[in-house]
Amino acid sequence: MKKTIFFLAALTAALTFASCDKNNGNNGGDTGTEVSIEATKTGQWHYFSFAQNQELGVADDSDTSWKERTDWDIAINKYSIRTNSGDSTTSGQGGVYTCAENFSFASLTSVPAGATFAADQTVTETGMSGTTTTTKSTATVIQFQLDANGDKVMPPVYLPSPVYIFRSADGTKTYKVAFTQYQGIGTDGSTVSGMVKFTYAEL
Amino acid sequence: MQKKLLFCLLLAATLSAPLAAQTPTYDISGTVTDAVTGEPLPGVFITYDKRGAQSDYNGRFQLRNVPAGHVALKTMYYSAYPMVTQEIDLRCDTTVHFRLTEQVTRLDEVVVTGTRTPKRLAESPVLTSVITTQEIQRAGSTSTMEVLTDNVPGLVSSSNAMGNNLRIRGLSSRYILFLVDGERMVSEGAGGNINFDQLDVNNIERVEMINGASSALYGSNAVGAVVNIITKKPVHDIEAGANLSWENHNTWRTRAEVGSNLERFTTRASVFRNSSDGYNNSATGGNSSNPYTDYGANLNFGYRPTGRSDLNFTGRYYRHEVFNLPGTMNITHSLDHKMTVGANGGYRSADDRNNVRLSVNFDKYFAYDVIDATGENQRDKTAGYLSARLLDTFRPAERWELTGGAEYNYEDIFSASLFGDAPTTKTIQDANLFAQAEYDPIRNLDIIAGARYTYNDAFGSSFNPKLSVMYSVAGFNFRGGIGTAFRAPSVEELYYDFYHTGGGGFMVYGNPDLKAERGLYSSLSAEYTYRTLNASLSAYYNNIDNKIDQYTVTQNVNGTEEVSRYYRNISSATLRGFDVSLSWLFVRQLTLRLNYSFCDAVDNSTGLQLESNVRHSGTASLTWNGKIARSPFSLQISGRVSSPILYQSVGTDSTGTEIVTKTQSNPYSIWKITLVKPFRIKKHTLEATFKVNNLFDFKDASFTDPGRTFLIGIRYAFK
Repeated sequence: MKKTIFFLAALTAALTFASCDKNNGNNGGDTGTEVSIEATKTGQWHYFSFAQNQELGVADDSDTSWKERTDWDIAINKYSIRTNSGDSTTSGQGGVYTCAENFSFASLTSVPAGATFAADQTVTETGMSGTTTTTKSTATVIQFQLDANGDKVMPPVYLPSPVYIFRSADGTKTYKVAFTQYQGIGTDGSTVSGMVKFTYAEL
Repeated sequence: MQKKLLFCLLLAATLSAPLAAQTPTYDISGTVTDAVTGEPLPGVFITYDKRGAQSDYNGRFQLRNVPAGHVALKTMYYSAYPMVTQEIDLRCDTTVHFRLTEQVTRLDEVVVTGTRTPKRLAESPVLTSVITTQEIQRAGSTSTMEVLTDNVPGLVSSSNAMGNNLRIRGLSSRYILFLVDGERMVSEGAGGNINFDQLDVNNIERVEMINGASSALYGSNAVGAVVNIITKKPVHDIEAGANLSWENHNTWRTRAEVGSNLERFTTRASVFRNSSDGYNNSATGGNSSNPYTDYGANLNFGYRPTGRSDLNFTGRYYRHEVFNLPGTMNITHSLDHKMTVGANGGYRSADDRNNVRLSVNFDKYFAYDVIDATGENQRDKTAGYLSARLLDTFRPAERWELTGGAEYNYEDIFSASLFGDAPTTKTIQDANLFAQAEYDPIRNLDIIAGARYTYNDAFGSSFNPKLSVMYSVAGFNFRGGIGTAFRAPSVEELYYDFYHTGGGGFMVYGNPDLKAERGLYSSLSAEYTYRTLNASLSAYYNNIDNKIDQYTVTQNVNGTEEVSRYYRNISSATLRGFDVSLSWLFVRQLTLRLNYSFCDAVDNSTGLQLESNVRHSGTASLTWNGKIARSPFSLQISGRVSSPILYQSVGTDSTGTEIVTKTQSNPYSIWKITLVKPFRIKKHTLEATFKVNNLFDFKDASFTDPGRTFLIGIRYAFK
């Protein structure tokens, strides 16, 4: 009896660990899963789920139907990011935590103590094309280099973003994400911004 | 040099042979030295009656078999050393010692920009500023851009990867005409920028600058000023040189040159390589500059079939590659190629009254984006400028000089994306006729009137007249002038059709119906020269009309806001100011140069100052040409001072209300100190340069500068 119980416990443990391994991603371990999203058109958000490792759909900035959905965790539009939290949703529990600069993707093994997850907010921006209002996260795919006046350096210089920890839409899982690419080469050979690549792993 | 002497002797021998029996001949020998430093001057021509000899590396010369009697010996050397005449009554072998003074006031310097004909600086009816190669060397200038920033007051340069974004008196580089040996350079990039690093600073013989309208002589863009960079021509039988310098941030500059000036042929070839690791001060809130590697080559050929005709060929190549700073995520970097080819020929009539010159010049620019990972490149933009000109100067009588000419220009720009969805080439051409008459009614009065008719296939015709008057009396030169200028709309302003992705995204449309901008310029100046002091004061008024501006239109298309930008001739600007200039050799070895400029540049539609105007600006330099143990050196401290750079603009906020924004940089002064120490052994010169740039480590947000840097350079020359 004890032997059976022990064997069943061991089997259950083994199965649990096996499924945990699956959840950790196809590449396994610390190397994470690589994802490519072609978010090259301004104003178009590409919605993604970490659990399903899949892009769920594309929608315009004005499309509010995605606010009701809880299957997506993050959305990408060029260099802007949305999480399923705050003003970007009606019931989502997502959010983002920005890691300090000294954390690399590999060295991050758990959510740092005292980490708080920032929710999305409604932002109004006045640029050369007029005023736009949208909801987005504080996280971005890249950082723009600024000159001494605080203006973006022209032509744009893209600096790497820190490692982010995103919380899933249901608030139960956390994923560490490192954005590795912003520009890519299009089919006609020209440089295209918004060909985003990132690596993620569950924490 | 030996060959030349032999030739002169043979000529002298054959010509004087029949006379030998009648007239005795004697030898004239002597030395040529610099009056200030006492240094021997090699390569100076000592001539009489169109025959002569050159001084050797010890400054010694010898003229043999000179016919007895009255002989007028003349010296001919670099333009900085004016001609000296020594008249002797030759009755026996004679020794003559020449002491040449380097002219601080440069009145005998020959300039060409003001009238397109060579004139002594003192006699040019258009006030011209000159920067010589000696001044460039003593300042330790390492780039053509540095030469301009050191000597042009009110010049603001905010360099970024797109160019130097030069502005003089609030006017962008589209309002300044930059020439190399009188020929235009094609503009690169959207802002009409020209990368001056394509011109090797060591190839510059002098820079001539005239303020104000010169469209009568030069056509479009000569609205604010004309800057003409004259390149070096070989002087000696054979000359060679090499430079090497190091500056902070792994900045290396190397070059080599070789040249020769033989009886009928002149050649000059030079190559250079400049590179730097750049610097990144963005972490501490400063500016950055990208790493780069530049290569350049220059070739000149001259052929003088007779004493009255000449033929010249020029070729230039420049390669500029700018890399991304380490740690960035950009996947491409830029690579530019620049190529210039030109030919010109001239003929002077036997009676010296007629001078004809035909020239053709072609300047082409290629811009590529190189993919870092693969090295593949994609052509992004090319721009080309072709110019052909026929110029004739005719002197019918002693007091008259008539100049006339015809010019044809063709500009083409290819862009992968700026002129529509598909890669497109757009062109502009113009044909011109111009004429100028100079008349001296009385001895000290000089009147010059000129006009130019332009027909441009984009905007139609433009007629630009000009009148200048100069009166000289008792060491003073009074000059007055009035003229119109125009700036043709650029290919970009006419034909833009692209989606600008930054700033939220908007369409930019050119306007093919744009008219040329027109300027009216008037100035009055007084120049005073007394011995080694030269001072000038010049006041000007420049009004520019039909100024091309961008305006924004916001439309609601299917529920989304679409923003587009267009161009139109809408505004006007008025520039008023005065310039003061002083150069003075006040103690035997000390030279002081000062420049001060005041400018009020107003955009008439808003009442605000033009972008990046500087109200007060100045440059100063103090040079000590001294000797240590009888060995010469030069020590120079120089600086430029400026009141705040003004940024004033009007915009509309989200509710449509006008908001005026006025910001300015800090006032600044930037100083540098340069020590140049030459060592001369026979025909070889080795020169060491030590320089500290930005001596007081001035830093400001508006200023892209690495802070205090040190430079060590070494130059070798063989003449």
